[in-house]
Amino acid sequence: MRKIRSLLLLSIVSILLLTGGCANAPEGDITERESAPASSTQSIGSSEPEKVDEEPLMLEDSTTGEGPRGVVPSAEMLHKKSEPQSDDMERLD
Amino acid sequence: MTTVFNKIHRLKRQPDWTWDRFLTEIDQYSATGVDEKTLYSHFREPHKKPNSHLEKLINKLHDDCFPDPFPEDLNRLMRLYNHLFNCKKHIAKEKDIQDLEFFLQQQCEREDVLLRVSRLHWLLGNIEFDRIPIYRDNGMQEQLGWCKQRAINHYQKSVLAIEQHNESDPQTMVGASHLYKARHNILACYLNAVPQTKRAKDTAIIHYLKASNYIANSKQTLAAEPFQWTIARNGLRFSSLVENEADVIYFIKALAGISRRFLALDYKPLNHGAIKDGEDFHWALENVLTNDCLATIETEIKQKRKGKRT
Repeated sequence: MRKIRSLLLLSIVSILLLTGGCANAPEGDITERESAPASSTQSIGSSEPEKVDEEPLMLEDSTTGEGPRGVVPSAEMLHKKSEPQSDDMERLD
Repeated sequence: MTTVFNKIHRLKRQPDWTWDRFLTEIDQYSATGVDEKTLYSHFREPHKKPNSHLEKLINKLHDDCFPDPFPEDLNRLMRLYNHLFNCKKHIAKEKDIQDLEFFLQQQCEREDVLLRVSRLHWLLGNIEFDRIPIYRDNGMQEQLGWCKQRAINHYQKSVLAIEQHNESDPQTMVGASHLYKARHNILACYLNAVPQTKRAKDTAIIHYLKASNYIANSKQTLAAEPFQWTIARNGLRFSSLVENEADVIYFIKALAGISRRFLALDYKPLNHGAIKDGEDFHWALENVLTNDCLATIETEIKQKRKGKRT
């Protein structure tokens, strides 16, 4: 009898623990991971890249045309992947 | 960034600034001061990294002798951003940079004091500038193009605001060195956006280089402040990219005049690589900077120095 009681108690406690664990799990965890990360350089509050004035000396090429930006990795990730080239020009303040 | 080397030179060039005077001025900022040997070695050696004590003292002295024309609050904000960008441990750094960027954009729209407008655009340009290598190294061409263009636009607006300020208030005119710096940043946007192996053939770089008169401006700035080895080094870089022998000679002589160490092409000045390792210097290394050429320049410099002594 004692064994049966202790088994019953154990199963009740484990059921309680399991249900409690699920209740505390963050909501929408999976869906959030699946959603596309926002553009890293996109200005806050806008869905399209900021329209910029043409720089007069800029040559016309594909980089100056406005186009869809698409899904890009976060800049946080990019910082990790980027390795500075040895001889880039430094900016002056 | 202006190095301690440059600041020491700029301070030392002031009228009546002997080494004794220099050390006395430093003593006013610190009880411990700096010993003469240390100061002199930083004056002579472009590769020397100053300790934080010396750096702080020189920065203070320099700021007092050559006050910055831009508002101090925005200069400090720029320093804060630099620290944020360079901090490797900061969690969610890019998000914080985006928040700062949003704040700066709002300020820019409200601002009507020209020097404040200029500095705000400069800082916004810096933020975009620092993203260029990230996009380049990850092959994100479209984002790279936009980012480069935004950086250039901000720097151009900064230049425009300075020019308008100088026209409207000639008594507090911002010096040519600041305009040079902003234009240097524009050229750097063009250069850094292209991988090193493709720079020599990049039409956008070459076109801007010629249209902006960068080489002539560099020579002019060097004539005023011959100790600016970063300007001479960049002059050499671009002279090599456009394959101009005479300008390569001009800038290597300028570098050798600052320190003969530069004639050793494996010399690494502070925070920079050796010329012999730089892809941008490839043409100059192959076609101009031969051992004979460097030996001739060294002899010329020695003779000049002898002539000055006698």
